[in-house]
Amino acid sequence: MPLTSSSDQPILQIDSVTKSFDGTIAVNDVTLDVVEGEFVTLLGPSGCGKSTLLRMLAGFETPTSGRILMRGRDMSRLPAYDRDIGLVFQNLALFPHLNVYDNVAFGLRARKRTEGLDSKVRDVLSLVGLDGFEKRRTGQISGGQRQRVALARSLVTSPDVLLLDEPLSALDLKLRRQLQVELKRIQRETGITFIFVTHDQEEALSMSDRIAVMQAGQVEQFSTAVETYHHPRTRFVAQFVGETNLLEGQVTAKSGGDVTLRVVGVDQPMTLPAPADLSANTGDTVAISIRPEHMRVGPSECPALTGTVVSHSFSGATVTYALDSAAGPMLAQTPFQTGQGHPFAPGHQVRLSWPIANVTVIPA
Amino acid sequence: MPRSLRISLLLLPSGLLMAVFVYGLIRLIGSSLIVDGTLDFTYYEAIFSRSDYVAMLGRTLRIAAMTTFFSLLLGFPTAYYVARYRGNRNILLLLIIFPWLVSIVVRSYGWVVILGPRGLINGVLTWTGVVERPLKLMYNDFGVILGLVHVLLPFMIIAILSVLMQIPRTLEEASMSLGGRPAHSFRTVLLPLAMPGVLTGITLVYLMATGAIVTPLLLGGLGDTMLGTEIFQEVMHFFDYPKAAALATVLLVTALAVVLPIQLLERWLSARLSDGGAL
Repeated sequence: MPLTSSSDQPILQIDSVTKSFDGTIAVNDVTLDVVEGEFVTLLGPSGCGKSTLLRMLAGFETPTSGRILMRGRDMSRLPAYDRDIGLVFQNLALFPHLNVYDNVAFGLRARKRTEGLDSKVRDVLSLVGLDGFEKRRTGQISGGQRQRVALARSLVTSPDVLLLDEPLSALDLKLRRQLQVELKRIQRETGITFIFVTHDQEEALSMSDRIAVMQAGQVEQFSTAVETYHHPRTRFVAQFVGETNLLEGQVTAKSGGDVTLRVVGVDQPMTLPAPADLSANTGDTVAISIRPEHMRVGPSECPALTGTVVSHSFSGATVTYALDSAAGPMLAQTPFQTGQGHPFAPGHQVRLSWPIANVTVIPA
Repeated sequence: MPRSLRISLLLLPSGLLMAVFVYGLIRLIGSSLIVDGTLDFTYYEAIFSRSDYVAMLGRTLRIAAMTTFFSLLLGFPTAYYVARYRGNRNILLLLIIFPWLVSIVVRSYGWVVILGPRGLINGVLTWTGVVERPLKLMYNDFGVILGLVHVLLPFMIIAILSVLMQIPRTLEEASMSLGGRPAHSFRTVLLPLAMPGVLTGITLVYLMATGAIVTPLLLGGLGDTMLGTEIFQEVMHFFDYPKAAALATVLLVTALAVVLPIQLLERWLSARLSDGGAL
């Protein structure tokens, strides 16, 4: 298809979409713009509405209110078969009565695009690494191969957008990692916009250009993977994406774009850049998020907290300490220096500190 | 005792039943073929030389085929509706099986009340003046087919339903997301996967329709009976056992001629599908 639009023209616009089932709201006023060629992940725990949102994009559910636009055209009420959207199902839904070749050819035949069918099918099979599997039945191949067939089947029609509904969740860890890498490669090579649904935050971080973190039917944050990890905007995002230390603080002053906070147990007040949407005033409570890998264990001039080591666990390059402090339980991950052993044993009192630049203020 | 032997003991009761059944069948065929100790086709020659019997055989097969056709036409959508019903499916299943609680005689006779010359339909039609004289809605093939479809439809529905329930809805959604319109999805996904159930339903309904006795007796015309009814009368009224046996054998052979190929087809399809692995 011709790439006439400029690169940041949204290919898909989800405009205040709400979906309720018999009064229960599954998706609540979601607005997202997806740019052509992007890899977007809908991340959230089960029941957060990500699958319902995906089913609305696919055309299996109709929004209760709001619109879904594709290249500017409203397709909210278009049936699935009139949308140019592919879908890889969680259970794959391969056709058991057809062999690999016929499964992949299905979409081209259904859309009556049989010209050059054979070469298209063979090209996409080789793209997913399944040359020579044409005549195999879907019951005679491994889980990972079935995954590839499902992907090839949805890619062969070169859809504008490919939706993937937790396609890797049934696979073991090693195979999952391998397919994550391959999915990224295939997405890059085909240039197709991917919308990937998962509850696995590591998977989301490693694959996505942008992540929409969802909870209770709403998008809590929609930002790049790096932004989502380093600048979570809500308590939920901070806790769901990666491990974090959340501390409660009281606003003592507000000037320009900065807030000054006092945190229980921390010896100095902290002055931090405030997020634009922070509505807290002097005297209000806010939270701050500090990732374990930004925690320093040992003497420091930065704002610091006294903690007692509860346990430590060694994982090759790093040591992770679990600590108790006046501000609650803390996690600190420090690089491991060879030949040092564990520097701090359980029961040891240590100073915990952090560079101000790595602290994120979150509305309480 | 080896395990295989112990398990095969479980087959003993059904084995006894089968033995008696096979013995009866052999005796039946034997009594139609062997007259005074020698092989004799007299009864068969007598049947096939009488044009009314040949016509009766033709009518029996035609009515059975029509009954099967209409049962399929009504049964497939019903089974599909039940299989995809989101609410309490058991209530629907109960409604389907419900007619089985009433005897075939009562159910067939119920149609007389509705279709008869002074029945419900004709009563309304003549009273409102739509027709002057009652329509002939029964004592003909129409009445028989209607009655048989009514009696046999649950078998068709259950046979198809049991297969449709095994087909995940996501397969149809997969077809739709790949651009398959409803007709295309039906033809290329649902129907091939449902075929084993459809063939089972066809077999069941066709066999029961060819052997039907009560419904044709109550709803059919006097002049044009079906083979099952004729056999019944030969036995119960004329005590002509060899002739009844010969007619029964003809019925059996014609039924098998249709059913066996269907069974082979079903076997082949099922093997192909199970070969396809998990759905």
